Amino acid sequence: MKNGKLILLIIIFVLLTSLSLTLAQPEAPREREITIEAYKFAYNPEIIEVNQGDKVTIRFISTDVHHGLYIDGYELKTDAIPGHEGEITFVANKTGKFTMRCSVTCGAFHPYMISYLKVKPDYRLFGSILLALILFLSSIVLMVRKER
Amino acid sequence: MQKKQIVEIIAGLMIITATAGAIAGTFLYEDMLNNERKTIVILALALEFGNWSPPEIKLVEGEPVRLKIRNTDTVTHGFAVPELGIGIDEPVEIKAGHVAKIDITPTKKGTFLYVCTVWCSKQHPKMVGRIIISEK
Amino acid sequence: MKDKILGIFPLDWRYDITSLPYVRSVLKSRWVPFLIIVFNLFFFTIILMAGVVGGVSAGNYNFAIMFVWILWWVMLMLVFVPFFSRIWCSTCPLPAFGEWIQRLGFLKVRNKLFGLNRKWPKQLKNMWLMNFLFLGTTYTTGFLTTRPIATFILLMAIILGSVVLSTVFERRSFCLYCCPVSGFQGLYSNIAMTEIRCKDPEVCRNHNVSTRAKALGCDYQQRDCVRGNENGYACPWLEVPFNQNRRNTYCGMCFECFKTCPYDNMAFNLRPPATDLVLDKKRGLDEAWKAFMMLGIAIFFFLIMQGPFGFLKDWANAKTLAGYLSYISVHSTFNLLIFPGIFFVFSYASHALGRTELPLKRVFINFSYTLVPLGLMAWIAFSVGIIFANGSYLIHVISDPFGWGWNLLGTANFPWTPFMTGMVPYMQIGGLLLGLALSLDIGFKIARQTFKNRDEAVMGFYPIAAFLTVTTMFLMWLFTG
Repeated sequence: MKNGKLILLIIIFVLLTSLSLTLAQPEAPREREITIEAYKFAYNPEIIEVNQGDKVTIRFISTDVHHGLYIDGYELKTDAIPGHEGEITFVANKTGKFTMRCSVTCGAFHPYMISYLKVKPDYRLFGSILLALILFLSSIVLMVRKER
Repeated sequence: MQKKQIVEIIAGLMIITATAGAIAGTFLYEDMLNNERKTIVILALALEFGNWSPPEIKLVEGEPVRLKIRNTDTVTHGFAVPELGIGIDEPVEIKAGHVAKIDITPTKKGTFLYVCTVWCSKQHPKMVGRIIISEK
Repeated sequence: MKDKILGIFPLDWRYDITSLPYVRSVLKSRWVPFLIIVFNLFFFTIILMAGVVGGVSAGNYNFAIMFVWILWWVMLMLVFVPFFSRIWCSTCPLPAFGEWIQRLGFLKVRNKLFGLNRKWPKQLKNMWLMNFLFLGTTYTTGFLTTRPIATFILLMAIILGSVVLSTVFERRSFCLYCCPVSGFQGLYSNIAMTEIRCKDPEVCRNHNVSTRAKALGCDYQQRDCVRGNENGYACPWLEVPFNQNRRNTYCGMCFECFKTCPYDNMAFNLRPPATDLVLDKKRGLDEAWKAFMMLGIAIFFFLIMQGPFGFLKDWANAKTLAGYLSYISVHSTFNLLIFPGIFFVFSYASHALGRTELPLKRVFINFSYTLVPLGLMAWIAFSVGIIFANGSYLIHVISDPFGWGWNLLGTANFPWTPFMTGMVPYMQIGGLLLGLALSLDIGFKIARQTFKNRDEAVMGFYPIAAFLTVTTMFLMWLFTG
């Protein structure tokens, strides 16, 4: 049984250290201007990261056809055609990952035209990983106890 | 015995209704819609995929007609006939998979260009077709 | 001590839905599931037409794409499979033509089937063929889900394939061993909360001495449900309906056994989830690979359809041939080799720690079934991400199925409206955690089956539990973080 406890401890240690990465200390809120370029069928940059409380302005540029940008969760929308930019300004008060998707049918892969807005720190991810760990530990504890 | 055969026939008829019946019904309904008024169907496609189809439509002066512009493309298109004032004051934007219906009664004869009004591809400015309106 | 799923539902808890009024008589009627098949046939006729009419136009405004890949696929994952097992198979209109040709009729019973009625080759009586056919289908996912004509071709291939194969092979051989969608429905139906079994095994045990069967000159060892009688066909799915020790995997829920049973001894049971996974019978490498592939494909599909990487989309969309070939090779290698390989390392650890005399292969196969609940939940998480964002297209296409400018229900101008997108990550996390809990619970029970004593079982369970937990964390990070 000693062997088993050691392995368990190692696993928990590794998981907990990797967890701390997800909760990097947020910086002070500031204003950010981010340019997103849309092309068939993705955005550049693919992922944008901001901190909670930041005032974010997204300049939205299309390089080929009429594209849109819809931010899940924040429910904001803009669109752009080549030569006409779109713009969204918002305060990133909700944390986590939000999918940004194209809102104007732009080609075959339009429904899959996606990018991510990540607002740090991601408490949700931290919480869910913690819950998974708790499930793992309780299953082990239950198993060991039940078998005794 | 007799009853079983009748049941089989009923079941077969149900299957025919669900398949052939659905297909026939679809075309009948479409025909009915098009019979309300003389209808001309135009497909909107970016230049790379075949441009407007048909590229040339013929109308007769004074004869009311309905233009059905079906966007069978994967991008947004627009429709305008600048010289006839169609799609100028109220821009006609047709999203992919959508259809615009425009009822017109041509009043002047001649040849006019109809154009796409939404940036749809690099060759968007070349996406034009012709309307030829002849005398009655 | 009685075993319980998640410590709540006793493994042997059952509630017979047919004990409710009318349900049994409905299931015994020959009009069921015929009427539902006809209804679905109507829908699929429209879908096939929309596939042809749509051609290569925008998939998101096409009836075929939306109803097959947004509604039907999501319903399979969210409702049909987890709650009603393979209920879709009983109402599926695609193989119906093949079956009607075999029966030379729709409702009448004529147990001499038309066609060659060959036996399906024994080497292929497993999931391998379906595994590869499903993997092959996923190569074209970029077209299937975006080009209406591709969906049309796939559905027609299934219809034609089933017609051809059902004239050559006996009964539902096509559905059992060929249909690309059949494999995952079979495996994931082990989780389903319903099953078809006999009410009282004692009745079935005494049934084999039927005098009528003897008089008819039939092999009197065979029960009516296996042999068929004047009320219904022999089990089209080549199952042994009275066998209590079977899993849902190959039961197509056609309800023929309800019609044939002279003792009215069949039951449509409600049961706790995942009970079939605990059954230590007929586990095999084919189903193990199905479990790996389904989970791997869910990850790939997420990356392609809901991930931010443009190059991957270009790969799947075959923008360049080289890209498409890289997609096929990376996708296949990961699902066929890398992911099973990672799992192999963990089951090797389990085997070594548990010090069992059982062959490593047994340990590997047994524990691979723990991936089933997690895999289904990964698919549910994936589906939730699609239906809430893009479900509103359905409202449009139902009014204008062919893009001809119709407005049947007045909703043709309903715009694309993402629905509750802020809640989706929480649903995904909840689903995955539920999947993890079920997987751990099943792993725990399989460990006790596999290993001799409790210490070995505990030791052998560690690596598997760690694998499941890490996989869940990865999926949660992928979907929501």
